[in-house]
Amino acid sequence: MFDVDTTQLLKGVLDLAVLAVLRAEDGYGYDILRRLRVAGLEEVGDASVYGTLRRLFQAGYLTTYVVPSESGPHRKYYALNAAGRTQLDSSGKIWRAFAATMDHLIEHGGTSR
Amino acid sequence: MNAVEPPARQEEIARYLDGVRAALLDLPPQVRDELLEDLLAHLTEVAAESEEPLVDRLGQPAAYAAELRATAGVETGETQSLQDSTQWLYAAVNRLKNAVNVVDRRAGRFIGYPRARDFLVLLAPAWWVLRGYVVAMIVLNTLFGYQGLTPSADAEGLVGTLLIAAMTIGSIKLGAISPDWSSLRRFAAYSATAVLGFVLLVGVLTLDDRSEASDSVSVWNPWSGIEDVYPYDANGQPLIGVRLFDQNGNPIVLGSRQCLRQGVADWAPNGQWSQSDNVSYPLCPWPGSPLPAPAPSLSGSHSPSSPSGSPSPSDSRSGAPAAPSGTPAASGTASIAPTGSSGSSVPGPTR
Repeated sequence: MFDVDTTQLLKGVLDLAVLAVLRAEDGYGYDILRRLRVAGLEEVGDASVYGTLRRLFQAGYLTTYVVPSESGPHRKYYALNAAGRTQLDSSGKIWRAFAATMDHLIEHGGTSR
Repeated sequence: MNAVEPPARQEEIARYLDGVRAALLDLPPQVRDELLEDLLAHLTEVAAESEEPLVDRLGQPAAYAAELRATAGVETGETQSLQDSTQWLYAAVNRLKNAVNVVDRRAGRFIGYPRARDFLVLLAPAWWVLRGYVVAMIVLNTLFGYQGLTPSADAEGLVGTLLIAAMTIGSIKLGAISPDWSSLRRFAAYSATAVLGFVLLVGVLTLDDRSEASDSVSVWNPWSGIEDVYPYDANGQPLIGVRLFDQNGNPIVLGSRQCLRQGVADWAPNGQWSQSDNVSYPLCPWPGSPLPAPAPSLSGSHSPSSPSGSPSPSDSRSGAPAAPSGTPAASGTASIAPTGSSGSSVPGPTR
């Protein structure tokens, strides 16, 4: 069902993607998933997003609150806290450096620097 | 949204949910509940997107559960329950680590290093040496009752020196190889070191106190054990009512004046004499009984010091004052001390 290559790449950066999405605005699981897909990460699995959200919460980067809904189950919203913002910044830097390195590697095959 | 869902759809949702739950049954209930918490809401929203069956959209429940479990960082069984119960601890530790890093960098910049720990690492070998010494001193203190800071220059001190040397070398070796240990052993080693550091601090503070206190007692007083003086004349006759004076004419005051005279205690309130007291020795002549006969060998003795007024370190010989009959030794004749020779029927002053 999934493109294996993209899935492999995604595994490494899903944390960063989720943090980035949440920085713009708090969200609940389905909404975050939708935003990721709209941004271009179509291969993201539903379960992966929820698993990532849980892991980030356990690591102390997110806070949660429940918003009651008139129709349907209550929604649990996730939000970035200060530690999460810090983590997002540092992970973002690492990502940019890594992406630049990969770009250069693809371009020049590591022969010229 | 549930209101507009047909019952069949709701049933599909319920079945999917059950399928995922079934695949997570090996997990502790708390973990499982957390993983399933958002699932119902999600399934409801997904079901509302289109008519597509859930299994087509999301995959089989077991696969969904596997992906959920994997990305949530769940390990199976007991390890996870242990981890979960301390997850908040991990998060707190993470925050603490971040704070420590900030302090590390700021302090480091202040003293001219990128990070403060770069400087502390340089101090490590010195700590290893000190650590060996501390361990050796602890051993000497507890096992041998040693009180000083350095070993003495005798046989016992040699043992101490060797011990310090051995411990120091061992400590340096430990410092060199311990980074290669597993994290648990390293943690144990660091904890032991922290305890050692604390003991060292306590030891230093104790010595500090002791050195202050010792100023007031700078000289060991050899006469502090003397409670009474029993003078004898040259013929070996015991004297009473003897007054002793030093070279300046000050009365010599020895003993605590505590004695029992026919059952009556007679002692100064604070145990201290005033200079004006007229002290006559012996303080406690035996109650109502004749003075003992002189020791026979005493009469012919040529002792360098005369019996009266010459203190002698005899208290070390006869531990009990119950042998005043035997304390010709008290009068300075170390050569003869027929302890218990005669007059053992004489009751001595009791303490």
